[in-house]
Amino acid sequence: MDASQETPRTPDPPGAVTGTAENDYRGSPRVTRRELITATAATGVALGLGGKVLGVPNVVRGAQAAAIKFGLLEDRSGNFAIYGLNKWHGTQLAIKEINDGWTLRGGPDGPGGPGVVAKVATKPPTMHPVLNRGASTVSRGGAPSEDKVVWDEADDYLVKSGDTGVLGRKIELIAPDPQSDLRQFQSLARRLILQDKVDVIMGGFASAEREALRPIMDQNKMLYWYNNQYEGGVADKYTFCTGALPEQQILPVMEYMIATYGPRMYILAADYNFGQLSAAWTRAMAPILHGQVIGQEFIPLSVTQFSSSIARIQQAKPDWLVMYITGQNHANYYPQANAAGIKIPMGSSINIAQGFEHLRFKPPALARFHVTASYMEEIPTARNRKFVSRWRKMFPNEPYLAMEGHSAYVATHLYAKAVRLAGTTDKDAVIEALESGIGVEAPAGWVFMDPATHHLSNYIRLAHCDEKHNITFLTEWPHIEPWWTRRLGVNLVKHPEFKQYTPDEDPFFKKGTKR
Amino acid sequence: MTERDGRPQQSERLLRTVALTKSFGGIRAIDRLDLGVARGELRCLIGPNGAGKSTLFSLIAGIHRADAGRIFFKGEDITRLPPFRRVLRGICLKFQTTRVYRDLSISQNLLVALALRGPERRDGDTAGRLAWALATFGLDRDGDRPARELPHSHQQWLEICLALATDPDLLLLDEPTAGMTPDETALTADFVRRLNGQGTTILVVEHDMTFVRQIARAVTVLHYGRVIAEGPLAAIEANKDVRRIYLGEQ
Amino acid sequence: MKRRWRALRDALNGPQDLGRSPGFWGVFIAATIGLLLYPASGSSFGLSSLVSFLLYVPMALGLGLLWGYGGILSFGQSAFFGIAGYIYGLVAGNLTGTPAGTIVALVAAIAAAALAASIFGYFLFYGQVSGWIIPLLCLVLTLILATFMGQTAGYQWRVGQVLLGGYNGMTNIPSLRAGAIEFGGTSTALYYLVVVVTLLLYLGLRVFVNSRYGHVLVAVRDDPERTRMLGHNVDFIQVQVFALAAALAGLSGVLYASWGNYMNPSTMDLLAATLPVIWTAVGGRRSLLAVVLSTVALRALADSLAVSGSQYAFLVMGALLLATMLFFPGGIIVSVARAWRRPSRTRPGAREAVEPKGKGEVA
Repeated sequence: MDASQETPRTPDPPGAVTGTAENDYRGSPRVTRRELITATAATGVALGLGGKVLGVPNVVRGAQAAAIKFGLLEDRSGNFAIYGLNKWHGTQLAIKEINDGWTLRGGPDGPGGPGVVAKVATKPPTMHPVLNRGASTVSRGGAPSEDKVVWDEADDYLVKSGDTGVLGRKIELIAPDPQSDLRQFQSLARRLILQDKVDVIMGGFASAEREALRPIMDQNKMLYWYNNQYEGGVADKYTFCTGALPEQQILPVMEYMIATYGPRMYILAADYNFGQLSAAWTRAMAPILHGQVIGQEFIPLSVTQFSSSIARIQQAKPDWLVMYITGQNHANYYPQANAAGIKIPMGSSINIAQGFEHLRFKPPALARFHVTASYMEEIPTARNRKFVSRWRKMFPNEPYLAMEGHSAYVATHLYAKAVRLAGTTDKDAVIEALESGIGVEAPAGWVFMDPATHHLSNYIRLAHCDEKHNITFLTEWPHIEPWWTRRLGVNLVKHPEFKQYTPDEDPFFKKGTKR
Repeated sequence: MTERDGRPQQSERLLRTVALTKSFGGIRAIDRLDLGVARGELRCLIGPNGAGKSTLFSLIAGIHRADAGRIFFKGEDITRLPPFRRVLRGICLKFQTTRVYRDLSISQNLLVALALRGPERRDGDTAGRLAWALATFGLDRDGDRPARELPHSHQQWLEICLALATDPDLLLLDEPTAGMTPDETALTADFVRRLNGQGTTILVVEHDMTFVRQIARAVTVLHYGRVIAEGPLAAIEANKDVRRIYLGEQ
Repeated sequence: MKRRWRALRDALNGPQDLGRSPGFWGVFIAATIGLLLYPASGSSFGLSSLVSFLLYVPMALGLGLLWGYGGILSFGQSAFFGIAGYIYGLVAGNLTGTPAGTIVALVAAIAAAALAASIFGYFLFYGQVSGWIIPLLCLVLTLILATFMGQTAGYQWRVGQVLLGGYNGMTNIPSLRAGAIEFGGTSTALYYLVVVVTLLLYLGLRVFVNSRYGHVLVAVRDDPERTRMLGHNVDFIQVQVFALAAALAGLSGVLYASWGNYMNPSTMDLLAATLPVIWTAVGGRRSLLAVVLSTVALRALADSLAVSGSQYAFLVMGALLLATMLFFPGGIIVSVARAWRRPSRTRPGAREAVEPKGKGEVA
């Protein structure tokens, strides 16, 4: 590890930040005297020079600016605790970096950060013999170009923000535990909005939790982020989503699996919204991708025995299995199928990346599993190695850096950037800033917040799990846009809406609708 | 049906059973039993243990359904009628093992019994008669005492009052003096006679012959689920078969 | 009958519930006034919070009536909460243009809950199902409904323009509205509605349990056969009380939909089915007052545990239930009230000297 630029510098004495927030509801690090003096000095200078030198807008009023209140509603107990804890940690890591003056590289500009790969001339250009100029002229008939990284990854995805916290204000995290209970989500959301008067709320794992929150967010005009993969379709003025979508996960995995293993697919889906809608996407897209759904099953969430499904799969002999099963009960499918000797490859948008089944189950239960993920801990790029080490330094006991922890992390940084752009925490101004087309270098790669749909384009990689449960990445799609709701005419910049679209509202899907 | 001495005409009978039969397991508790009770009668049912006396009561009241045969009350066939409807018609039972609401007070117990709704059962005399009964038994004081604090005899009296509160035409008393002292037995006997004098038809199952002698004019003797003798008390006591089967065991 | 007149006149102070002294009523009135004046000083979050506690009181009262006074333990009151909530959402969502649309929805929802309960109860009670199976059957009902609603995700699962929503639930349900007044989640209007409804319901049920019918109900609980033999149609009475309890649970369901504008199958799942039983058991099912107090207290406790970030919220509730069952089987509030009264009973001549109005045990 390099010394200076390796981790964000922490001016605090040791031990002040690591894992402080395990049981505390307000989890940001305490302000030390050194920070206070720094802040006071910075403020004094800023006031004196009218903010021109530092470029920080003059919103600081007193010796210490009021903190920005950041509300988080992620489950730390109950059914969804393993996902919620991971996202909570991601948020805490991002807030700590922001408060220490770091931000993700990017802004309302294009990609082009560290690690860009481009075609490079193998030999430097020569001068034109006659015109005697032409550093831009390349000799003819020379060696072909090659692919090379033109920008060293020694630079980080994190850069200095030139700010302490955001606009000189630290972010204070207020994170009660909704206990995977929808009514608590509702009550705590109201508490955060009305009592704690937070500036932003992020949270929710299951779509039900998001749908319970949205009416309250809309009623109170509260900026809300949902940082989880889901079935897509939310078009809400006050909601921003950073999780992966069907067009980003289902289509790529289908494309790869059909090309690699064959067109005959058998769908195993959990019998609830996510499973049903994912299956609807699969059925609708199969003809375009030259695939064929030869059978499908919807499995109630309580089922733990899959012998009849396994028998049907063995009879149908598909080229590959489409797996949309979810939850602790359904995870029992993998060891059972393995014991029954099923060796059919599997393609999915949901397991492993989120619930780290490849670590929880003994090999080779998840062998031949392929999933398209917006992030996984095993991504081998140098920048992700840095990200993982920073995370594990702050949370040494984290079982796995799951996909949604990364989504939460990116969302937090994106929010900070938008506030800085807007110059205020006023929610309408921040929403406008978010709609100005911001892209950032996330640990997974470059991501872009689409103004019209309020969803994130994601850097998608196809992960493959082998017999020993090692993960390799077979291919990637560096930039998939959230195009589906745009197809339905959603443009939240021009026409605010507050709903969730379902595939049945898309004429294209109606053709393939068969249960 | 055979005629017996002292029995009223068919048309005046309040209660009539025809070939009533009931078995439990393999044992026939009531065996093709014919019984007739006239309006205004005070009849005792006696017989050895297991003769079927309490079973007969449970069939009349509707707790058990007869396997065969019929029951007529005021000329109506009530064989298939559920128990609560029989109470509304005018039959009320005091159980063999005393059943009052032990956790409720005396006045609450009465409130339950008086809460009947039904045009057939409204009667202006009910209140008066109930008050008299309560006074006779000393239950008109301390209405808020929980019923479980009452001595056993008082609980039995309370149960009789509850039954009275439903304004029955036919009162079925199953061993009303079990466990009572001679004084209490006499008081009960006096009450029963007076109640009958006011017009209530009463059918009593009893083991205690002293009590029977204090109240009975007509007696029916049961044995193995059948009527073996029926008539005035004196005749019954003189009957050789009865003496052998029942009185002889005393 | 002297005793009869006394019971009628002292309907409110009858023996079937706790708290009969002037002191008690003084505290009761003071608390009511406090609740009614709260909006003047409280925050809108405080209002919303209190509403989220109080709106469950009708359901708890219904269960207290059914179980404590009727002797029928229903482990499925959440089924009627959910039925009413969903019907309200469907009707109100389709009648958004109509001025009295939400009121029609409210009536339809409660009627639906009562109807469902009448049908289910007919099979339970006229079918002479054994007492101990009834809680299980009620639980099965609510779980079946929760599972069924959970798989209604597709577009075909809709009534008019309102989607059932499957596991994601039904969102953007309109709040109750009367003319220009909207009973939204943080509104003063909803607060007053819930407080007044709870108050009237409690007092009304108190009179009810002290009435003749209330005593018959208790008699059915204590000895159904004896009650049958006193001329009461026990099966019908049980269905009636079951339907009444369901209607009350449905009222809670509609209030919840108005408060959160959202309805979800998890309102009918195992946890939702168990909570009313816990609230009722911990306070003391045989007293309506105890049920009201423990429901509010336990809801407040659950919320404060969530806020303090405790991961042991479930353990605390479970431990509380266990402790109640072991040490206060009749319920904590009921046991405390009994202990309070006991010293006065042991004084000599106490029975005549102490309050003449119905000092009998809480039945």
